[in-house]
Amino acid sequence: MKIAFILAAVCVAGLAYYLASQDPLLTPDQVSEGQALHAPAVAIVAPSIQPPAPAPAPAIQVRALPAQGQPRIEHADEQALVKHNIKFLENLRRIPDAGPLVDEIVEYLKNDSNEEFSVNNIPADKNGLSVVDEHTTEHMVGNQAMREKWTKLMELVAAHPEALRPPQNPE
Amino acid sequence: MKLVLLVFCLSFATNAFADPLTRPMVKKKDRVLLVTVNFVTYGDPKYRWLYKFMEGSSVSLAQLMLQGSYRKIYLLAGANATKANFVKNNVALSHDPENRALDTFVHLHGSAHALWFQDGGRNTSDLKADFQTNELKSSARLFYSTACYGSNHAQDLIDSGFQVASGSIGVNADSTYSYPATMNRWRAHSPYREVLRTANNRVSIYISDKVAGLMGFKHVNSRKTYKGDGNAQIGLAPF
Repeated sequence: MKIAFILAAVCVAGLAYYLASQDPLLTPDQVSEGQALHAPAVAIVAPSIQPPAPAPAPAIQVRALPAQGQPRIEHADEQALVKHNIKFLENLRRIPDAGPLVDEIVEYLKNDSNEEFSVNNIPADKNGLSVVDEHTTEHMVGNQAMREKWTKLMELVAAHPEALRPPQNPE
Repeated sequence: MKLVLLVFCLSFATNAFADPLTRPMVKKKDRVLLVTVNFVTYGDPKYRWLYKFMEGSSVSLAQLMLQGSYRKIYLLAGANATKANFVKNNVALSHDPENRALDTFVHLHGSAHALWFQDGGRNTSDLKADFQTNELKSSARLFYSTACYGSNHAQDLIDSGFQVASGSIGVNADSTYSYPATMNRWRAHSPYREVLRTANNRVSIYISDKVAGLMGFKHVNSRKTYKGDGNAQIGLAPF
């Protein structure tokens, strides 16, 4: 009797674990196909890749630029882009003390014509590989004052990733 | 009858628990991370400042949040982020006997079935062919991507040899939340399906996608899906 009871408990525990391990947020179609909600459709016009079926109004178009000989990505709706400001960084401002740093860094990046701030400044080996270490930020952000601001902002984000979670009422 | 019941129950219980529990552990000294970053080359020049910000934060946040979880964090950035370098370095790192788990983060532009490296758009099926030719070793574990349409790249990366691969369904606009959130849960040893559940914050995606839509981006859908093994964890060896 005791053995039967133990076996039943093991079965129930196994079933509970199995059910808990299934992700209720993702339907099997979404998981297996990855495109159940919206079929992505972007036209690509480049010699080196086969274009997928073109969409009527592509979000991103790639075209060859004869002057540079390389494809480039263009964002289609220029008027809308001009009309609305970049808001992607808005939720960084939710972190206490981060707002002024975001403003200063963005202003600096907009005027960084000498490429003092660039991942291209990080030295690499012959295979293009770098090791991220204590000198990486020093290479990436040449301007010392800006480097200090950048480091402080990144430390704030890394220390409080939960602060980036938006308020619960999006309306 | 009792014997049949016993075999059935033990078999069921074993299968339900076997996967995470039977895999060997991998410690920090066994793990390496390769971060690949290039947004500026093919980004709209008007938003060059934004793409530089994104490139820089991709590197700095990985360093700050994950340096305690990996023996080394490698970087393939900017002009060095070519397809050839990407394949070569992933293969080399996966072959290094010191690396029992290789995770790869990709911060590139994406379009349907293609990733944009320094040297142009490349079909992920070409990546798969390269990885099959050069043989990515079984230490390859997580392929995490913030690229647009990363969801439809994922199967090719699983076929390439990664254990689990994920990305957004459409244009991806919520990385400022989902990237740190992903790293925060991943370093806390959550199974990848739980990591993704956290990253798929309903409110964050709603707001980010609405704003991106107002800015003129079409086909925006920052919701991420994964293919492969949702039980993958930072502390468990790949199968």
